[in-house]
Amino acid sequence: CDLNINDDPNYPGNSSITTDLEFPAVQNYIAATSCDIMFNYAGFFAQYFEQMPEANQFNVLAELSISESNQTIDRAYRNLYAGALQDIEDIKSKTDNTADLFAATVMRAFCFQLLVDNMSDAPYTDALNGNAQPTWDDGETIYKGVLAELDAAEEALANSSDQMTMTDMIFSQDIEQWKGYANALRLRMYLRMYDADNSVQSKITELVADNNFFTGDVKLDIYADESGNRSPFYASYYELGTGNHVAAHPLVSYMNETADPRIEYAISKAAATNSYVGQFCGAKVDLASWRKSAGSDWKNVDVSAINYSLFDDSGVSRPGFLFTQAELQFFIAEVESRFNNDNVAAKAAYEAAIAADFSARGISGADDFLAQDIVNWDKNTDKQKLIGMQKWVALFYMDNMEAWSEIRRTGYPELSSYTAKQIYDDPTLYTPGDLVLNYRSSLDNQNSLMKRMYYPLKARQLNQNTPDASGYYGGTPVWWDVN
Amino acid sequence: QTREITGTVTSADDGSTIPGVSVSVKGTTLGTITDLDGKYVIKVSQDAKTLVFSFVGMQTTEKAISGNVIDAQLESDVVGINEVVVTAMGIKRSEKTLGYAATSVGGEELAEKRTADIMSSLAGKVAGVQIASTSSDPGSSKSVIIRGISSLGGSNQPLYVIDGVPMNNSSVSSSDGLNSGYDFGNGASAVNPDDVENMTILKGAAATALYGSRAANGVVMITTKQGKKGKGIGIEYNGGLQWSSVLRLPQMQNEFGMGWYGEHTQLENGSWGPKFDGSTELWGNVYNNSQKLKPYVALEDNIKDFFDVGFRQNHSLSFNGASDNSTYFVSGSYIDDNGIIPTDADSYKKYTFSVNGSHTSGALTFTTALNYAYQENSFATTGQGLSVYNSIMQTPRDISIIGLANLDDPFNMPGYYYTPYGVTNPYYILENYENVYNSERLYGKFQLDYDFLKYFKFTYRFGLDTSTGQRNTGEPNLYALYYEGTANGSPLGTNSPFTGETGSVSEQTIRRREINQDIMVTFNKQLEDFSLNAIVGFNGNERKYSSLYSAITDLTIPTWYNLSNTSKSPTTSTDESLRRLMGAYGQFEGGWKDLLFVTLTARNDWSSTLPEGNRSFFYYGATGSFIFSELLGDNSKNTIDFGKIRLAWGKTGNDADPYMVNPVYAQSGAYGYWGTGTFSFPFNSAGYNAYTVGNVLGSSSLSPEMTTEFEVGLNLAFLKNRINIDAAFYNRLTDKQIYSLDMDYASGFTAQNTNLGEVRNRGIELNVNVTPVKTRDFSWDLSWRYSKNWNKVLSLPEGLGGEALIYGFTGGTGMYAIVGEPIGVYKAEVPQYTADGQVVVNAATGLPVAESDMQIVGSMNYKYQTGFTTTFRYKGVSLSADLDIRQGGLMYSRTKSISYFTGNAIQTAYNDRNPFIVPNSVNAVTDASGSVSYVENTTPLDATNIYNYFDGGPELGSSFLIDKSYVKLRSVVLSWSLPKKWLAKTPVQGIDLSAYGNNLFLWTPASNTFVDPETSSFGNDLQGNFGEYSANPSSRNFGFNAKFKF
Repeated sequence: CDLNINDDPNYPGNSSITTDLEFPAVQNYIAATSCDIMFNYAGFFAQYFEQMPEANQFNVLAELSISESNQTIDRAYRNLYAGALQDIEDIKSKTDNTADLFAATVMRAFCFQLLVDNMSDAPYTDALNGNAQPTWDDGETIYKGVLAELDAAEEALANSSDQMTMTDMIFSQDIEQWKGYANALRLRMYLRMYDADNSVQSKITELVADNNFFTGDVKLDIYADESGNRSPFYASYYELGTGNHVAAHPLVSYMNETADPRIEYAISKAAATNSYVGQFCGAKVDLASWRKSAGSDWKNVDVSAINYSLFDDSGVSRPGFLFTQAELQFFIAEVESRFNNDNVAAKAAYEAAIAADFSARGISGADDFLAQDIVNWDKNTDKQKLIGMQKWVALFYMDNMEAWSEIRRTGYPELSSYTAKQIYDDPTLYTPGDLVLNYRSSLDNQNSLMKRMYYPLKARQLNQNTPDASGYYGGTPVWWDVN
Repeated sequence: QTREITGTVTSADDGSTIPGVSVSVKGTTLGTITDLDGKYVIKVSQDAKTLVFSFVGMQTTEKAISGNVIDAQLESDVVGINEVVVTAMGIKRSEKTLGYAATSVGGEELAEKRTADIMSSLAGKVAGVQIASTSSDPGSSKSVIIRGISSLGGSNQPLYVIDGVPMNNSSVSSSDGLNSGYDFGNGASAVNPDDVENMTILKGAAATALYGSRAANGVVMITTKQGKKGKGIGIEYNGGLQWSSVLRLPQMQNEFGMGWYGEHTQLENGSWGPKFDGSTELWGNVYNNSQKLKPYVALEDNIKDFFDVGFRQNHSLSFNGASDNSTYFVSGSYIDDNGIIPTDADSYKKYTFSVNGSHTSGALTFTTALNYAYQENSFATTGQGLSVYNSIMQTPRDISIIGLANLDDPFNMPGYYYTPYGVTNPYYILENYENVYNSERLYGKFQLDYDFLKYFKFTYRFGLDTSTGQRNTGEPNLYALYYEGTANGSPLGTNSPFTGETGSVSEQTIRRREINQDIMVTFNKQLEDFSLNAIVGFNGNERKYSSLYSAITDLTIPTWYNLSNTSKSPTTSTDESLRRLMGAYGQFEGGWKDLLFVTLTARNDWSSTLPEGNRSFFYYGATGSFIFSELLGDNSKNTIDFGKIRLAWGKTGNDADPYMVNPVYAQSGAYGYWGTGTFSFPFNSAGYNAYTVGNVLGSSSLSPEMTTEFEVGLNLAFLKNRINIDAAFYNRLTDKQIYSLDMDYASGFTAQNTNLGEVRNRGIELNVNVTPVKTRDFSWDLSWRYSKNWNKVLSLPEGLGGEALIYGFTGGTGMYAIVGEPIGVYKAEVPQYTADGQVVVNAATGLPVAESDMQIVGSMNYKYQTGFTTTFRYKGVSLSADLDIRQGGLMYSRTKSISYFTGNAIQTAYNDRNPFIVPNSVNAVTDASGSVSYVENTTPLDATNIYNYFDGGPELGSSFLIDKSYVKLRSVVLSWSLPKKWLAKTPVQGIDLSAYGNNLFLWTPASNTFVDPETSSFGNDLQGNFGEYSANPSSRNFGFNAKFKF
């Protein structure tokens, strides 16, 4: 009687799984995280999204009353560690192909960049080895650690003639694109580190001088209208079965002000007025009472809903963007004007960024748009602010997570010194595009926007090494956010 | 010169054979005992005159020796304690010799109440056994928990053994109690109660050790009927009709109607509107420029009127007979049950067919039993969303539910239904949603017994249990049917309430097969005052499972339920498992006189599910019983008829589920924002597939779970057995529980399989039977049973921080295992209170302020369970009633939560909904130094906050944990056996008629105006104790039954 029958027939075993069957899983986990989970909450924190007046699903995001117990980040934490990073560990144990290992390391670096930008700290050196209670590292250690890993992997690649063999849903095994993506990630991370550590400036300028970046967008273009295959964010809306997002006031007023044709990409006109109307963040309940006293009301029909299907009905199969060309060009524009004082190169990059974003959205009219004084490079004196504002617009509904990080890093858009109520009573106090404090906010610092996510509840419950969070409420910045 | 005399000893009460009867020649020390079948062989000298038959609890009988075959019938001298019970491996023993608790219930008693399955008829009959119906839905599963919950991760249900063969008792019920809950019953439902001769419940580890690892939660031994010699032609018909009606609905207020925040609306799913005034109101959607009108008055019975009278019929017919060498028993039965929900969306049909037979030829006996069952079941799903009961509960008090029955009326269809808020017309759901299950099952055995040597017997038994079940579901494509151009597109703006409701069809086929083989040698010998009895055996068991599941969404033809009906790719999956277990066991039993009995048991198991190094595990047990009444003088014997002290200690090992050891890879799927696998391979149109490292870390060091139990018991009978007491104390420890323990995801895994934690159950069980009156024609029996179980979680791994979640809502009320607490304590949101018990409310809103952390508010465990049975008998007429009482414990009730949310609950009419200040409330004031003081609260709740107050719960989240105590009039049975003499000249041997009622009355604490606390939405095991999530209401039943014997 044979008792050696305890290998699970429902799942393949170690010997039948090769690295090329694992790498697409890594990419899917990452897209699900940054293009769906983080996309949603960072959309609120970047003041793109607001909670629809007659629904309540995201009140905690609109009113910044989330906490560990909401488990908002737990799903991201699970996708990244028990998904992408664990599979990368397995790939590392199964291959010595330096090209495959380099691509895997780039993905790993991006995972940790996301974790640090959200929570500042994360398990790193002690993670992913089956230890049930890994210790946590601070964000600086992790940033420097993964940047060093990137350098080491690229050096190993340079010393070999390996070609990528793993199935690659992002770049179809084009190793040059992976190198370009790695450089763009380095540029993004060094820029984030700059305020805390000015010594990285030479790294930043070198990267821009070498100009060895990816072309097009870094994206996952695999989605279709099938169960389990729908585009990130659309899938979450579809699963909920009803829309909950409307556009926030800062974004709508800025796009109205700049006559930006991209507003139609994912924003509908308010049914009551047939115009684009945004909602003050965290103020839907109060708006209703302010308007009621004026004999009016604040309902779904009064505000611009987010159009998940997009203007051309392509929402269900829209790609997941991991790094847009526009964001990259805005970085280059920033470096050229801020560190290199090269106005020509900066202007070229700025215009390339906007053109790239128009093109990624399938919206025409970039040239006409740029011809307007309000967004024209030459007509604006505060170049950093212009870059910041347009980057914020270009990241909307493309990469909300990076938008939230860039707001925290650059301080653009700026925070209005007036409350939503003051602006409601006297709209002339408001500069279109300025962020407005969430009218209802549960942050420790009532004069702050959302600065970080909480630690995962699962980590809190299951790992005694999870840092004490008693000093952290969402208003406490992450390590690189020192200005 | 000697001669050989043979014979069979039977009980005068029921004709069953009695093993272990001492047979001796009067005046000599020569003797023997009867074997397992009550047979004996004795060599006597030619001059021997008389044989003496003696057995504890029976009147000693003498028979003159004449001829070579002498059968004896023994009369019991003490009713109730002479019972022969079937113990492990089908071995018959006199109950009084046992060193552990074994409770036996006869088939007649079980069949009296005419329940559709064998388990519910046991409810309230056996101390220490908690039997609960998860619902009154026809065919739903029953939970049987013996001596408390001990396993955190595994099953807590007992092992069912039919005629020596283990039966698969898996239930087919939803894994997610919140959405589309269903329950198609458990494996033991397949048994026809009319086929059961006897059921014995073995409770302790010492009693069950021979069954090995699967019996750690006790054993329910079922012996089916065999053919018997008797008068008549051996045909029996038993049939009945039963009606059922709804037992418990929430008490609703009748003062306020449709609306919200105190204002009237035309589209709401709740009763937060103004007070009823009898005016004529428009309501619901506009269709074709018209709208409905109705008077604004309460419809007090709108929910009650929705429910039907359920009807059930059952018939069973059997033939049996026996010759000197053969027996046969053939039966067939049919049950057709349609529950209290209109239509046959809640219905159950069961057909069974059984053939049992045996043949003896010389020293060889062949026995076979074959049982077939076909079950067909429809279930009206429960839970949130578009379930029938959820939709009913969200009906304003002024809306007629039966008025929605006409599905030709466009206002009653989902597109123009009066509310778009997450519910729809229950009649539409009943008509259009499909949720059915049908299964076929074949189980039985072949057995060979060979008396190959004097005192020795060899037995080989082959058991088979195989089943195929198929579940089909279908949901209409509401998006296609009702989105475009209909009214319910508009109240929610551009977003249809039917987004994503594109319909679905699924079909799942589940196959199970269990093969069980036993080889046993038994030895039986009487040596003067000593009796010896030994068994050595080997058991091999294989269990195989496979499932094939296919599903589609986006139905092209909106209400046609077929897997081809879509333009999208179907999803399919398979699941299979195979496990084997081998065991070698031995048991030694010894008795001295009728005074002392000792049993030693040991077993070694080899399991395929454990790592190779830990595959073999050994455990053992010992029991002893001392019948001290045998030593009493004749004087005291007049008062004490019988007295026994028993002691038992035993250990049982338990193996793991299959495949918890080795690592795997899985087809990859990533979580989306809602925590579900929204992005999953294959990505069909892009052409990608991928696999990911499995999320659960296997364990190569997994060892078996061990249960150790000590038990002490006392049996006493007084005053010619007018008073009868059976008491037990047990202490059970379950250690090294096999569990899939959650891990910090940063480890790379979501969980690891491990041995963890120890749980202790301690308890007392008491059964008292009293016969206050007994005359020739009349008797009155009373019995009282009581049990109390103390449960405690002794240890959990450190990494858990002393706490493991059993079941809970995300960020809300949860049921936990916490070290030092009983298993299943609830943690929930509670209001802040001041030191002197005043509730802290928000000064701006007047609403209670929550404590920052969830607090422990109680546990799922009953404080005690008790019950009374009383029976009056006059000649052939008997009247009996069972009262079942359970005290203490909490359960979650969504029915309460939803009727607070809708403002339908009677409590929500508090203060006529005029603004009020939360009683005994204060506001917290924090001064500049940060110290907090309290001032009297003067903020009344306004109309909006009155709604918020009830919706959130007056005690916040903990409000929806209700006291689950109850008293139930479980059954009343009036039965009449027609006098034999009336039938003397007919071929009819007996007619029994009965009328009965089950679950007739339910009394609950005043705070529970909502549900029958027995209902559950989370399965029939540990999680099932969490509570109900809009479970269908329970029912009371009335019926008539007639039994004819020919």
